[in-house]
Amino acid sequence: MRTRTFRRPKYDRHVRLRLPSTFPAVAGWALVTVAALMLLVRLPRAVHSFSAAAAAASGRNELVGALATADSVDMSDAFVRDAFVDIPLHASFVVALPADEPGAEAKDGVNPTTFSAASPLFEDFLMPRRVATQAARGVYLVCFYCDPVWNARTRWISPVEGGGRIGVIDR
Amino acid sequence: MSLAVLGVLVLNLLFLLAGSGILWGVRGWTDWREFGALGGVAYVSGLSTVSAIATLVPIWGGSLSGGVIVGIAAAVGAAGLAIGIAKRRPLPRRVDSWALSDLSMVVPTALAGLCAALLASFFRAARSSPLTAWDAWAFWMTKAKAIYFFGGLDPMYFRQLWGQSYPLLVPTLAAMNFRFMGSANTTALGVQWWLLAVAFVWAGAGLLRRIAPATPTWIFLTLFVALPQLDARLLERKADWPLDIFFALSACALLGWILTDEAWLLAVYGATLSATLLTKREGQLLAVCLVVAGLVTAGIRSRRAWLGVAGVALLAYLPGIPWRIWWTSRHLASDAPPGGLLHATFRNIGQAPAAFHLVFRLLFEYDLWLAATPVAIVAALLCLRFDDRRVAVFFLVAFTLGFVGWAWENWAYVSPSLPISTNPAVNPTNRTVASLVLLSILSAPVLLGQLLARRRVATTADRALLLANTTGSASASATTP
Repeated sequence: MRTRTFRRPKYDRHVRLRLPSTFPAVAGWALVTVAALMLLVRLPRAVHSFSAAAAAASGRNELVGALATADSVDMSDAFVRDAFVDIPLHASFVVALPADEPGAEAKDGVNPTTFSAASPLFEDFLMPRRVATQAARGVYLVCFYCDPVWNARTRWISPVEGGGRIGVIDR
Repeated sequence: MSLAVLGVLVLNLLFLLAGSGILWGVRGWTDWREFGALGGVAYVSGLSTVSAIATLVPIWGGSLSGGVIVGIAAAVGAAGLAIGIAKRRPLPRRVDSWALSDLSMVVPTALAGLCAALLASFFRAARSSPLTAWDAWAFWMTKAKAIYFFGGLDPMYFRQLWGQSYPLLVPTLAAMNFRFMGSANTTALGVQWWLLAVAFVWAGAGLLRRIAPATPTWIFLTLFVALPQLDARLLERKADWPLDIFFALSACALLGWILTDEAWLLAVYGATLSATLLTKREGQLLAVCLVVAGLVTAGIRSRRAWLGVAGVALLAYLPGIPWRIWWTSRHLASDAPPGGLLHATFRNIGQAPAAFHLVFRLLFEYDLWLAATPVAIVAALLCLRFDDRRVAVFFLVAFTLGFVGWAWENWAYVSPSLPISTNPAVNPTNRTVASLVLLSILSAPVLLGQLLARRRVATTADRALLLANTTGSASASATTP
């Protein structure tokens, strides 16, 4: 049996009755307003960002974007262009880097990232030219600061461009 | 428009047609207006299903020729049509008038127009941005080109490239695009990733139209297009954004099914979950989040919940099994941490606080993601006060599990080459948290709808109106008790 002692105070009942009906709706509208304001503030920068991205991309699609990628890893455009021109479409190639990469980085001022990028970059962009499993006769050589030992086995078919050149292994 | 871009658009039209067949089979169309509203859902379903099946072709050594791709799309669409005929699904009727019949739709329509204008502006960058993201040209696109040029899974590439155990959906999707372009044009391929963003908006609007009011829906969908990280990273052409988009749409379809009990949503949930699982290995983590959240929300003791949530997830996992057999039978590296995941979990437990801090910091960074996630969390916490807590529970469980999951991935996989760092070049967390941001963007309108609808349904007249108008497009009736 409820006594006066256990009866809820009046203000408590009022609070319980009011909260479910108004507070969520007010909070909901407040959150919608926050989202709308966020959008409103962001819109001009978003439009500018899209336009800037389109402007930055224009004219960078030469060789299906290979030159833009070469730029992003500090590799010579002329070297990459030579690789596309000199290696036939269905030939095989190997990428040769110096045995002493840290030495070459220090001596020639090459970014370590450029050495790391050389093999996967040519492997991807030169397709359908395939990477050969062995540097055998007839295989093309993409030499990037490679060691002089390759001179004895290679007929060079392009000039040195940014530390790289293209050749064919002929013995 | 270049021929390559035209090729991308033609392929994606095939996805739309195949998906339209699926949706007609599982639900039918009442009129062309409804077809327009759910076209994005049809497109995503078609893309997910056709791509999932197409991943099996190179695994079995086949070439993804134009004929094979058209054949798969036709088979998927025809299967939907056959089910539709058997189930006597209605064909879409002509719409008398396309004019707005309700003044309350003016604001959402204006927001949709703004969203479309932003996407159109983004298209200019999408069709001409060259591929410069390292992971994209180092292995994602290399794998795609290997499938396109040499057919099957050439061991020269798939044994040597990084991510040997990574699933095949993204390389396969790119290879299909190359086939329709007539060349391996990775620049024009940006349009495919742009179309995925369009699909998120279009399908998100379609899935939310029955469970959330239109104005918050379009505010949040426009926020998605304006996210700083969207234009910064979508066109990288990696698998992160497709993973996040498939996951968020899958979550939305599952939530829709839990709220409305419309069975066709399970087909969408299954198709997009399958695509999630086939996009990146992290898809398994996200799938667990969805299944647990779905079971907790729909009722852990309910047979219907187990069949709908876990049963469909199990079916969604099946297309990934041949790929798993392929790489495990060739003893390729799984890229799991040394000693296995369980061992690494406990060995590196000391890194857990730093991992949680990293995920928290990157997820709530306003300059990356704006503040859609905090808004959704506050709305969910407010909705916990209601008798019907399904939306809030679903969102909070999926979100919390995802949050813990991304932190766990950080500390379990920590190594000198994968440190716990905010630098996106060495740690992918600033990309992976996008899954939780997109989950928030699609959940927030439903949660806000529940908050806003609360006062309206307090009167008996409103209750009667809602009961009578159960098919209202902007109604939040499905979320109110």
